[in-house]
Amino acid sequence: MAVNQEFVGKAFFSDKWELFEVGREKVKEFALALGETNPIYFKKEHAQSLGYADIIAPPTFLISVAMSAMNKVLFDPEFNLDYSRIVHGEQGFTLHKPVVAGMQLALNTTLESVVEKMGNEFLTFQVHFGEPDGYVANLKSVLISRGEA
Amino acid sequence: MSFEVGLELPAKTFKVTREDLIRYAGASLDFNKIHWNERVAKAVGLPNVIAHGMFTMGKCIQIVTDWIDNPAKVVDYQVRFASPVVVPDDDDGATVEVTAKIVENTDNKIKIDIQARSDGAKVLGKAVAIVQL
Repeated sequence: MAVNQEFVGKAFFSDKWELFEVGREKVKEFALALGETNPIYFKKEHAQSLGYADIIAPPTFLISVAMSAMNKVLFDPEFNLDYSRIVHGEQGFTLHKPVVAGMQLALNTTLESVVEKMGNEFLTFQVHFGEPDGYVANLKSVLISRGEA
Repeated sequence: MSFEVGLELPAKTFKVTREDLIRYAGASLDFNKIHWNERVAKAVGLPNVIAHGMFTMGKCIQIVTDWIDNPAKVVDYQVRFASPVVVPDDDDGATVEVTAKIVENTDNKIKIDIQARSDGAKVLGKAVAIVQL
């Protein structure tokens, strides 16, 4: 079963960037789920004493937002993918500035390539996050759709 | 604080239980059933429920963030998921052992190689973090 190649190179939301706010309670919930204890994730005063406007998010926090964006492709019936065969192959985060609670971010998702290797399909996504004055982060995800063989 | 090339960061060990995975699923909005449903995991050929790769990735960077204390200094973090962390349905769960070493230090940027193993297998490959001092 092959995914639909027509999705490759198409930028999702490119003409209309999707907007979201880095929610303070979501940051805390994410940090707690990873067993974090550093007060920089939980106490605004502490984060401010270090020069940040509010609590900061753990380095991998933006994956939750990127995942929802990628799911719009993965779950599109025309994409022709069996989601239970997906495993995460690689993940990268490039953080141009700290992700701080209250930030308003725009994101743009592109399925960069689909490459077949030995019966498995490697889907590479790029998700860019930005503010009006520049990029905040870039996430690269390689998902592997495991073949039936 | 020393940032010399070759410096080993204090090693870490963490446990992963089914409860951790449920909590992470809710916080990250990743509800793929292979992370909480043994029946589905086995049906797609996995040995059992496996941890979210992103849970493992998020836990492993703590070897760096706990050491540097300010996690905002991590400006880049890349991993390959080498083998899954299999999580049994018991109170002990799985154990992951993490080590890390400084491999480069240039222009106030340090590059750290991270190694993680569970049940004898390497769970991360090419795991590298960059810290901006």
